[in-house]
Amino acid sequence: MSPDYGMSLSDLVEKARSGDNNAEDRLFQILRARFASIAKRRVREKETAEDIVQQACVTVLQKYKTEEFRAGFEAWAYCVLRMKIGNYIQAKSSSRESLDDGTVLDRLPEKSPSDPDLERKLIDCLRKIIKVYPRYARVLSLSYQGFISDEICNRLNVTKTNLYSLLSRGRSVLSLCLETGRV
Amino acid sequence: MSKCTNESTGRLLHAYEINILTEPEREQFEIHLLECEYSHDLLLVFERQAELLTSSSKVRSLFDDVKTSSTHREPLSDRVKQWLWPETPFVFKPAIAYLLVLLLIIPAYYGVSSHTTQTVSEFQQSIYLSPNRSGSTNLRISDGGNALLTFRYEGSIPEKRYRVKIDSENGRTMYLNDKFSGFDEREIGVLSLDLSGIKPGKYRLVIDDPNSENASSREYLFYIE
Repeated sequence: MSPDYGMSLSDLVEKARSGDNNAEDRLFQILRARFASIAKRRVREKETAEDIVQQACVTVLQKYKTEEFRAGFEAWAYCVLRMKIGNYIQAKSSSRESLDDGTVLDRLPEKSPSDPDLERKLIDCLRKIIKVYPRYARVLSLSYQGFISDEICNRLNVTKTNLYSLLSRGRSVLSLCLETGRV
Repeated sequence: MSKCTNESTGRLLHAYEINILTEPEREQFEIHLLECEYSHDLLLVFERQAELLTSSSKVRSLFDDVKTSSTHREPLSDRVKQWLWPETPFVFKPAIAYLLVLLLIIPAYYGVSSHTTQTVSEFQQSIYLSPNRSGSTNLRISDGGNALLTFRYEGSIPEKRYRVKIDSENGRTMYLNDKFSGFDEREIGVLSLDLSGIKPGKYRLVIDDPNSENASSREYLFYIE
């Protein structure tokens, strides 16, 4: 829902389809930002992610007025984005660092942090959290070892629901610590 | 937007941030991100932190010593804490339940305890007065409380009223009950005697039937020391 229009993405699409140019501008402004958030987690290079977002937005712009959205606009737009990402990955498939499971890249790049202060605060907070919230620390540790949710649930003998609750709580504790220094 | 459009999918947020979702879950969450401003804003707010969390080698090194097996035994204090204060809503935490149970048990315990103590103290000394042993029956005031005197009156009838009197050595009546009806079928009567107002000395307990001229009286001697 956009603050300008007070409506969902699908509502914006309806308005844009009926000829509301402002709604169309707002629709693609929102779509571009959300595509970017997804694309940069799927591909390593920022510039490549921006190119993919641009291509996906162009395709959506070309087709959204005539396309029938069986599972909703968002699902269709997501398919467009995934197709663009898939095309990029296919083109880079010979690269040794391109894929995770054959379709996507699923780890962020190993790079030196551009925010050493934040990194220091994060480390301080995580040191505290490891002591007071060891289950969250164990999930993080398993994620660093490359385990995904199903495997982590098996290892920790918890349900998916419990795992996601645990992670939500851990995120809240971490956020609070980063803000206040307290756990 | 102040609320997530689909909270069951929105709860995958942190799992998405640290890259542990399965591919179907990841697609589900990414479609959700397109439609939910709230979740997208949360993702952006924590973007730098999440990036450091997943990519910083210094951060990763913190977790080298973290045990990751479910069979790993955490320290006892952690296990106790987890047992009493697990990651559940406040009202479901066992510690709260135990506290409530304690709050209920403590007054109940003191209630029962004080009642029991009171009952015991009332009958600290229970003595059977026998004609053969009456001269050697002693009650000790130093023990405090009440004494339960048991005696027999031949020919007594249950529920019928008799006179029971306790006189001191110098003839002063310490206890008098004209309507004593505590005899049972075995002609045994039981009297609770408060020792607190009675001095040490020799006493005589007399039972008779004031309504019958022919009935004989029965006397028992006992000592209070």
